[in-house]
Amino acid sequence: MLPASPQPALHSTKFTEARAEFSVLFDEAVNDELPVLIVRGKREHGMLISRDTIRRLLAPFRLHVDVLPEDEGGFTLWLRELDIGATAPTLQAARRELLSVIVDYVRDYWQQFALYRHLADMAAKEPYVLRLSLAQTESELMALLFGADPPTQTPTPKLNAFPA
Amino acid sequence: MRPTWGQVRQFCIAQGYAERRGDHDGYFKVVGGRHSSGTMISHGVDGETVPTQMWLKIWKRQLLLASEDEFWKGLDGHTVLYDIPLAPEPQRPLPVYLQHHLRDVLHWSEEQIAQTTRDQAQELLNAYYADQLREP
Repeated sequence: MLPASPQPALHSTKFTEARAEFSVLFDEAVNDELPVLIVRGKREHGMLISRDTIRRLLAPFRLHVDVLPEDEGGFTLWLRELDIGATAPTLQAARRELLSVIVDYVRDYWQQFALYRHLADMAAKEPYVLRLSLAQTESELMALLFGADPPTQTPTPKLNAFPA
Repeated sequence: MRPTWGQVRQFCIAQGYAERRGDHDGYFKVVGGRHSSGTMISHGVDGETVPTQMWLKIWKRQLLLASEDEFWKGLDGHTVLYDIPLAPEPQRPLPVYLQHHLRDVLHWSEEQIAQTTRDQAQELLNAYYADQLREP
């Protein structure tokens, strides 16, 4: 049985106090990778957590891209978890197109989240979309989709396509 | 028989999908209450035929159509059947205690109750007692 007034398992702080010591809390969350719970009133709970921690927690939500050779020539690449894909005459071109489709999809997902969160199939995609959203470079995105070694060793420019 | 991308666009417009312009044009519609149907179309490809494998994914996985024929029916605006995933359990009848909660405590109409799944009704009942459960 829990004690009558259990201490929060996580470091918890009130919103007004968090504002005053935000730098310390940020260090704790980002450098020490210890999540901090921030409470406003009695019911609103926020969490300060590092990007690396979130990425680690989301790691089990693996993404799978199926390669589908087309009868007419060319390839379709299909991202199973989001049910989106791209077609092009070559594998490399299909990959480029898929990245572009994903960027559009992820942007739209967050813009329409107030609606999507109420739809069973779209809500189930949230961890995958969040995982993709955390990619900051094209090489990070490719690693998520195709594993550590992308199919070709082309230069990977900064993506800058996802909202911060 | 496979459509052109332009016909996919035409289907979505004819069926009242919401359109969102972007690098790829997005089409989206809520079907069956809690599921999504939609697709994305690149610019400048409307005259091209959708490749075989891609077409299979589009009508089945993205548009959630019950069959390929539904696409051709819907192209002219006729009503189409969607393949909505079944609820995990039959919706009715709700147990008496859930009916009582919805009708007598929340004062829902019979019509509202009829559209409520057992899981949804149970969640509402749980929420009703949640504060009491949280009390020390």
